[in-house]
Amino acid sequence: MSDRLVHILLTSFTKILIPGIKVTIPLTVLSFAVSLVLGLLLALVQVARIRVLKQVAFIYIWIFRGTPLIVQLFIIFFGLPSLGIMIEAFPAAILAFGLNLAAYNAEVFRSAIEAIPAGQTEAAYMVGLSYPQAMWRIVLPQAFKIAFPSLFNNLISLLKDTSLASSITVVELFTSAQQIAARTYEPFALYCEAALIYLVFSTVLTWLQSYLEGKLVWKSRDARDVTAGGRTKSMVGL
Amino acid sequence: MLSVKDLHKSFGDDEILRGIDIEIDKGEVIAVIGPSGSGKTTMLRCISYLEKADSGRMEFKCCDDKAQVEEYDMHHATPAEIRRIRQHMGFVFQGFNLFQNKTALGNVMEGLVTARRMEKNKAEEISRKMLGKVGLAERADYYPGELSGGQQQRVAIARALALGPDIMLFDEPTSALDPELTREVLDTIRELASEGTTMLVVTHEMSFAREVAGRVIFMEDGVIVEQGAPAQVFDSPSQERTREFLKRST
Repeated sequence: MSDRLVHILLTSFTKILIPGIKVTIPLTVLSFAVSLVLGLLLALVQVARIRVLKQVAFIYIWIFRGTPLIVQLFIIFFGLPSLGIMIEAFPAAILAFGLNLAAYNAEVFRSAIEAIPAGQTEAAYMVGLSYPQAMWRIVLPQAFKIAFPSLFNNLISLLKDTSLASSITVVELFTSAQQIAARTYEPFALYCEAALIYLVFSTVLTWLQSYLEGKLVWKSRDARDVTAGGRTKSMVGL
Repeated sequence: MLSVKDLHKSFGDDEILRGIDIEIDKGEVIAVIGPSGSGKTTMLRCISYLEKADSGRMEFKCCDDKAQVEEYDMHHATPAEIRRIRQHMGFVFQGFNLFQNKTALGNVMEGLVTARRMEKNKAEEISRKMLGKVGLAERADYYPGELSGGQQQRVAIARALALGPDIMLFDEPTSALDPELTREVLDTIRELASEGTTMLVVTHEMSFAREVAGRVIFMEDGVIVEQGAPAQVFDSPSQERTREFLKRST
């Protein structure tokens, strides 16, 4: 490797990493937050079978899962202005990613909620809980645990998908790599560098996922159980 | 105390309950026996409004002789009415249905804290007492997944008792348990009976029914075929169908 290439790699590293930290990560986090809240609402509306809203949710999910993310980005950023709605690039990206991922997260939430046995809500009703109370106190916590791996999966995908924001003028990780690659005529090196930084970010997220999944276990502090027959067996987590 | 008249329930074309009349007095322990598909569980679920009856009249009159009688049209009962009548009932499910995300103590406390809005310390005190009553005081901080089936069912009983219901409904409480664990649950129920708890127990445990119940009801094909004192129903049934069933079950 020539000295020049090494020099380029070293100086460009922070020039790509910093936008990664200042733009890509916030973009991912904010978009995901939007998709979580909206996704949960879309799921609840279907599960609770609220008449009109349920249909709206169904159509929403159908459209946002059925069209490409990049097309949605372009419609929001380039298309809306001709209808008089101007949104800046960064918020437009959050909106597009959030609305898109909400459709996927809605299905994750819905199937997780439907996986909770009816007996849980029946028992809740018989101890006097109302439907909202049963949902909030009993069903949703359990559903969240089931939904967690899929939700986190979507988060990790989103991290990579934020690179599409470069197509609507957001200067994030990938854009920076593109700019330096063009300037230095070293596309291979620069794009590999960008890939490496994405890999580092997603690896951190994957570790975070394992850590959090370990915390999402309902286990008493005394993890050994004495069963009816007097045996002792250690609990392997639930 | 509780009376149900002319209860009908069909699932699609299947008529499961064909006009059930049942009356329970305070302090009575009633065992309901009968073959699978006879409608025993459906009857219990209609009484607790977990299923909506096609028709039926329910009347609840409690203890204090105030002429306060609550009347319910079982098909048209409103959510508010259902909530009101359920306050008088405790339900123990065949599959326990403990809240998986709460400890034993949390399970027992849940109704008190969330539905009755009781202050947490008071709810905890009552709940610990109930857990002690079913013999599980030291397991208060265990999660359902860490308890045996018999222990889970006893927590479920404590959970129902904590709300101070006027009548306890048991839907085959030991059917999901192996014989060893069945005993501990039956002991708990036996103790409740000796304390005068009003109970309606759907069960397959014939010897338990004979021993603990004050009245036995035999159901088949959605009707009550025969009812009476255990000795009478078990030893000298007046109906042929009852005889057939008892012969098959022993």
